[in-house]
Amino acid sequence: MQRILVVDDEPHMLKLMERIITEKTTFHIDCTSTPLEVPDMLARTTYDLIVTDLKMPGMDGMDILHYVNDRDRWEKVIIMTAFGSMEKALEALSSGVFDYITKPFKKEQIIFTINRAMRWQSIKREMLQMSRAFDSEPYERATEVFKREYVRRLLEKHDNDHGAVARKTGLSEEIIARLATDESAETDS
Amino acid sequence: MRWSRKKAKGADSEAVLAQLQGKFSHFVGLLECNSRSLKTIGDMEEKAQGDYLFDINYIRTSYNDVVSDIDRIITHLSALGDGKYGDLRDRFNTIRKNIGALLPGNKEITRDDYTVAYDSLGRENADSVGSKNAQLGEMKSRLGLPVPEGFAITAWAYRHFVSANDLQSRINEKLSELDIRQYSDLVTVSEQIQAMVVASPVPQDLEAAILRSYNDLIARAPSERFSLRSSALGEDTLFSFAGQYATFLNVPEEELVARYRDVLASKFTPKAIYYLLSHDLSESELAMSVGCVSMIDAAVSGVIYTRDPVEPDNGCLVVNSIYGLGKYLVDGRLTPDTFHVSRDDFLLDHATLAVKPVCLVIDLEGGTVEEPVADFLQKEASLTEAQLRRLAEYAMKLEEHYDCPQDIEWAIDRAGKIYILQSRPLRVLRCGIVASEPDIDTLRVLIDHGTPVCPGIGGGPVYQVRSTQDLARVPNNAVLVAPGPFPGLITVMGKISALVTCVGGMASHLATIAREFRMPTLMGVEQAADLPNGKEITVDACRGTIFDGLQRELIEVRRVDEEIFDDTGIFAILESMLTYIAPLNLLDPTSPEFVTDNCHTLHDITRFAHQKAMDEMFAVAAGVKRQQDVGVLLKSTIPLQVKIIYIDREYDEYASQKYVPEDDMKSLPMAAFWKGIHTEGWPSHTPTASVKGFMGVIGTTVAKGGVNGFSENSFAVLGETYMMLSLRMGYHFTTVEAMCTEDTSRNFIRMQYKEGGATIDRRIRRIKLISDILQEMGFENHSRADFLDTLITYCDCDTIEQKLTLLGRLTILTKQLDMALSTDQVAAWYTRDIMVKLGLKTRDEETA
Repeated sequence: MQRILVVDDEPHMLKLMERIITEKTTFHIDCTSTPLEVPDMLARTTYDLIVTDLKMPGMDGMDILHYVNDRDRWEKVIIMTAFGSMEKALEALSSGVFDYITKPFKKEQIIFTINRAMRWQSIKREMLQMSRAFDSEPYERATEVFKREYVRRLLEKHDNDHGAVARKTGLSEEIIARLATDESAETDS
Repeated sequence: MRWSRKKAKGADSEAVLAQLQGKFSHFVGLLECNSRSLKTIGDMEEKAQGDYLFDINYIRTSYNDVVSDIDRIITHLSALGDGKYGDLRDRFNTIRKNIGALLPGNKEITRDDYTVAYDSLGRENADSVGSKNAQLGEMKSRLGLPVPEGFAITAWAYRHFVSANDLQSRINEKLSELDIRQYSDLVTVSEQIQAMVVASPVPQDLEAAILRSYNDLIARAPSERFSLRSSALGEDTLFSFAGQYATFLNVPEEELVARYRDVLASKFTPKAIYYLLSHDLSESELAMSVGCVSMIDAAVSGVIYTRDPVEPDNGCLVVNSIYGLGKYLVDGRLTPDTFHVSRDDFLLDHATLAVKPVCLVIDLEGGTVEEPVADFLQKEASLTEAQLRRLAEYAMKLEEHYDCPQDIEWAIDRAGKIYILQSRPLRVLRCGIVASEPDIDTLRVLIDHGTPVCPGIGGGPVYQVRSTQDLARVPNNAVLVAPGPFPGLITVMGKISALVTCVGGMASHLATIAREFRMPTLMGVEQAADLPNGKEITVDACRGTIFDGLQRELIEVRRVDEEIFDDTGIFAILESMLTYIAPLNLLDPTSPEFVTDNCHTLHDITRFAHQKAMDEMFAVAAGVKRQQDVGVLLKSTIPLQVKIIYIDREYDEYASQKYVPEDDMKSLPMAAFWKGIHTEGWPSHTPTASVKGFMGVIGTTVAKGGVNGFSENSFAVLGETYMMLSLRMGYHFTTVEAMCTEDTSRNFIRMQYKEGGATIDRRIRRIKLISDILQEMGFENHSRADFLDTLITYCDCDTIEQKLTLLGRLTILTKQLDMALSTDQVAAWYTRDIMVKLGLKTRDEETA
């Protein structure tokens, strides 16, 4: 399940966020009104998204953003700003915040932004998994495996008629023969 | 000196002008503040509808904006009225004080006894004893329900403890020198403050009061075990957020006072300290009440939901129960028995029994202990049908009393007596039941460009109204369509399902009223005038769209969505503040009730000040006409002597001119009005006056002592966006005042008609004729005999200009018409004739 951490020094705001995220999304949400707790919470759990207020004493939204960035953490950060702190918001954007949203905002706005961030995270996760797959096996070999499988299926379909498969694929019968025969050798090695 | 170099005439004019310009700048300033404050109020109301998330900072900022604008409004008004309206500021300060008390950090601690027994508490005591205590009192004293005996130690007692030990300043001192960088800093300070509180002695009189109440309690309570727990002072305090706080069970008499102090100390959690720091609040925000309650030695405990949370409309309430204390149910350790009981006859519908291997019970040594449940009981129902019936009966009583579904905690002691421990509103969501929002792409859109003024969705048959007169016949649940947001619409807000106006915007008085009623409202929908009466439509004031037909699902889904935030603290704060801000009590400026004393809200103050400012400006501008020697003549082909002065130009700049040319009057509204005069042209003959009518003229004139009125000049006070024209034509005296700016909310036309030449019945007919025509044009009229005062507001600049041109034409068309109005039939004929001429009605409509 994808997880969100919401940080705001005003508990009222947290309650509204908790309500809306619970009712309008399937994400798991944790909240804290004490940003100084965030490092501990991040040590325990990896979130997909942190939605944080900008202005808070002790540790503000920018501090949290830097904390995440400096440690190369997985979380994306969305910053909530009060009307009029546009400058800070721009600074946040240049420091790699996913998005910012100006308070007060509509229910639909925050849900839209959160969904967008979560989609981004799940796409990123998929890409990571894929590239991990590619990393584990050299590219040429993956291609070879793919070709062999392709030819095997074709031969099966054409009753092992090498000539017909050669015509169909444009490959020489020699190559087809190699792909068909080398298979066992490959598997054994 | 400056004046001595000028001719006497110039100096005189300059003084008049300076006064006028001064007042005008106050007038403009007031209109600006008025419009801005209404926008802010409107914005706050919008946020209260449940579509937005906002924080306390938003509330503070918006409220401060409104207050400073209204403060300026009052300053401008008293300058306009030369010091009048001092009592308005008193009203303002009173209202401000009421609102300020609702903001967190400003709450004053209610003076009370140090301790109060539950028997004499009700929910109105929540400010003193907190909601938990107050509610136990309410259930006992008002509803006669069995609740545990107990007493509350009030917030006033807390205050006494704090001030006797000078804790406030000592804690604030600790906080002020704190520069937190780490969570551990907070923990350290929290521990220091808690130690400080625990080391402070409880004042003797407080200690005595606590022990006295304790002894009273022992005398009437069956239990010998008592618990101490805190009771939150309201939704908007820190209590709801501060996290864990101490509850002490099984407290013996000799430890009572010390444990009380421990409960107080437990409030200073690191979270609470952080909150005080980040919001710049003092520790008084942590003021708390404590309850001392007799403990129920529970054989069975559980909760009741008066509606099934999964299926709210199945006609059943749900009872969950386990053996022993309720803790294992609440924290999910055990699966409870579940009973569905009919809400109507309290009979068991069906039961789902669980295996209950253990239970938690009170330990005689203090605290609680887990015990195994006897084998033969583990799979048995933990409640009898008789007990279920009794519980259901209590539960429905609570739902009825609090007027919403409840989530109730209860326990049954070893003697079989039922106790209600707590009841709170149950959030019932019907989202899962109602079909999800219908695909709006499949709905037929009738109009798609309205300005949403109050979000929401409502539907019903169209009912078109043109003016206040039509409102009496508005059917229930109609979608009301009006030409503009005129104030009279407030009278039907209770019965309609949606409101659509052709012109108007966010800042009108009516817009705030619509939001107060949570009425789905669209404004600025020109084509709405073409919607046929009786046609069923659905107004979607979230998207600004009007759909064909009655879309029930759309309306229902929206209703559920609106309620998501209904029971949250911050919405409660905003809503309670808005009750002193938004409602409008002053409706009719001609009513004797339209006085300062009846200003109960900030909106009332703006409404009152706006009206009085218009009156003052009107009086000032109209008063200038008595100054015979001021101003420059208007040069026109129309034979009307009009003298002009400008409020936004230096007198020297134009006083040297002999005339103001009529094609360059440097006043947008005046140019529009004059265009109307020209369109009709000066009539070569007046409508035929009968001899009787003429005699009437002579008679009135003679009675008034001469013909002086004929020679009096007409007079205009002009600005680029302002006009105030006092027009003397024959015996009729017309004053037209108008403002025509980019800001719709500042624009208006006000016209007064006075004094006619003919006999009173003819003059009344003329006033009626003009009223009827003005009403057709969208004006709101107030007429008394032969005096008419009429006003239109919230029109854009183009509309104001068009209406002024029509007024110019109307002025000529009705010139001395009263002579001709010998009967009502003749008057009716003229009314129709003029409406056709002005394009307000077609010939066909006239003959039809």
